[in-house]
Amino acid sequence: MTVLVKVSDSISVSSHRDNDPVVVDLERWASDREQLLLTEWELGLRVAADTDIAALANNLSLCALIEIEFDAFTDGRGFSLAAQLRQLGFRGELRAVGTILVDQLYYLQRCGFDGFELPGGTNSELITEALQVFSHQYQTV
Amino acid sequence: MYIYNELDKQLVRERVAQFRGQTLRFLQGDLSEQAFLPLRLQNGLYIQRHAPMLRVAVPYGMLSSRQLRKLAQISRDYDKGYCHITTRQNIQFNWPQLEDIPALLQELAEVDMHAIQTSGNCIRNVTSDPFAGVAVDEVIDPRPYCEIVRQWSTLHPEFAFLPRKFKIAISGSCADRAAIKFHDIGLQLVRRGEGENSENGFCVYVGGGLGRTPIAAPVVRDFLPERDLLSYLCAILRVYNQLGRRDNKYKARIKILVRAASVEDFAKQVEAEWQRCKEHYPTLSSEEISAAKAFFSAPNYSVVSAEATTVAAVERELQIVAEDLLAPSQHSFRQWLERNTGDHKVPGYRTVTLSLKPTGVAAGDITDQQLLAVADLADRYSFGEVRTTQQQNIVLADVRASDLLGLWLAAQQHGFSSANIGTLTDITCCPGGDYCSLANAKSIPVADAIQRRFDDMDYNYDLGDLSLKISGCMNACAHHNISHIGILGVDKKGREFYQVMLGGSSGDVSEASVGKVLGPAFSADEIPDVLQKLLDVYVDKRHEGERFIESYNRLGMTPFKSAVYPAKVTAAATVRKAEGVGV
Repeated sequence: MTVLVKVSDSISVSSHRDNDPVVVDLERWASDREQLLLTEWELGLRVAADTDIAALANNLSLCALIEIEFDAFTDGRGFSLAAQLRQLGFRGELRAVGTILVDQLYYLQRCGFDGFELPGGTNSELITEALQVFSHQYQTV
Repeated sequence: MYIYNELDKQLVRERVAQFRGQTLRFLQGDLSEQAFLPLRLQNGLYIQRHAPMLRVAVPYGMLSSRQLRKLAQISRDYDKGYCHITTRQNIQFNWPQLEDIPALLQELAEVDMHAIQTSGNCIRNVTSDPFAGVAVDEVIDPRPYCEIVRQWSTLHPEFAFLPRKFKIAISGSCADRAAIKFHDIGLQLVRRGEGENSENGFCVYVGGGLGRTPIAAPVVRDFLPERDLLSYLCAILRVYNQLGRRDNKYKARIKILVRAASVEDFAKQVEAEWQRCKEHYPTLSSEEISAAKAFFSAPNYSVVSAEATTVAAVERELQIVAEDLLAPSQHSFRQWLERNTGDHKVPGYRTVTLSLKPTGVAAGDITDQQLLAVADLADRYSFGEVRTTQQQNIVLADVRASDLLGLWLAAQQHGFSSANIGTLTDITCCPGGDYCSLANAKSIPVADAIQRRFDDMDYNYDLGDLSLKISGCMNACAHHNISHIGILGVDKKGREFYQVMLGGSSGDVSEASVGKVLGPAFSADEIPDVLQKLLDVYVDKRHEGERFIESYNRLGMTPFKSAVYPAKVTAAATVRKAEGVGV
């Protein structure tokens, strides 16, 4: 069981994921792209944290959601991939999934993530606190 | 120096609150050991042999007297009455209790200090030249740029979980007193062009380091305009974050990535990323750079002389006083002037290095009473500021020549006046096996034995400039592999041995070199004798005025090697002969 945290104007924490796009991996995307695009579905891509940005650059406008999967919370590659995706203009939801800590939410958010999959039972108050732990930042980007 | 504004203070308070929560969750069992580990490391907290160790950031080595007084109080209240100055200009507390750390951090925050990013796989404290702003050979003061990089790297969201730690050093002088070529990124400030059209920028070195793979960094870009500093740093870090090895801790530093391909290929990757991220990065405006510079404007120097104040000039001025006051100790004062004071770019002033290397004290250790004394000396003689050094001493950067005698007398009272700066007994030494859980061998007792053996300062003065550094393991915290004579503690089947290296150097970017191993390792007891033999070779073979490192560079390893090992070779040969084994 996991909970899904979404941050837009406000923070929502829910164990349901109604209205989620249909999420496929890069392999499926490569093989069935044309067919998938013919459907009415909103589409999402799930990619590994070590994915080269070049593999995604041409698909950004076609996806409503990109999930970046962290194999280990100490693997920071997903932070840079997220920052690159936002800099390339990706406007859909960017969701961190896999092994992440609630203590990383603030940095993840700063890198462009606005969705987070956390272990079920994670304290909502802790989530809200973690997302607002710093009131400002030194970096302009 | 840089003065915290309300936003800076707020961030530090928020970090303390965050860490307090994390520590509480850990102690209550709500946060696993494995998850807490990187979180506490990013806040400078190690678990060592005897107790936790907390490393406090001293940005590019600058401390105010107010901060020194707070460190004294913390040493007393949370530790055993002393702390330790590290080879990266930081301060370490060796004996705090884990549950007290949040309160300790809160006390530090009162004087705008913290332990943010002093450990962990993130961007660490920026280091620099301890004589920044006053050195006679300085082209551009590096401190404003250090501060810009400090702010940019502090709580940087993208680079907190890098493959490994990441260290940046900045220098603005001809001589390199920050060992920039042995950092993950070394930035050498340079000026291009003349007069009106001149432009400040950086020569960028990437992929230097010590540890088990010591490498002098190659140049990745020979001129980076200052306005592009942050976007270029971002590009380097991003390439490293995404492509640096994560499968093997010992191959995870950026030096391995730079070497795995060629420097040219690495530079191309950085260039490609830079072109992508540059347009999203506002350049540093001249206003921002000027604002940073304003924090490091010259203090209110009195105009006392038109010419640079050399040791000879100070001696002339003090002649009469010295003869009256100091007849018996005049020689000591002279030696102190010679070794512990340095030229200053403002006439009438000199720099003073307070030695934290008296015999019998672990290098870099300083007591609460001494911290208070340094604070008082700083207030009285050096505009209330000091700098910590890579060699684990403390610099008063702005002392009036006419105050030197008074300062020397005061320094004597507090144990700072050992006139050994830059000599054999100014040993740089990591805490080693006495404290550190990574160490393979103790280092402090070896340094102590050397200081006791070589206690004739006239002999040491005759040897002249000599760097001797001792690390208790491969991690090379004491920088032994860029020392003229380096000593490395190794473990052989559970016993401590010491490998000796010669020929390392970091004083000049063009001459930076990694030391070479002399030969098989020695036991701790043998080290002073080995050192004596090495020094005898130097004294015997040196040319007039030649420093140890210069003699070594001319002579090579052979004469040193044969002075140290022939007895063993002969003895082994004799044994083999007696046993009827061919040689």
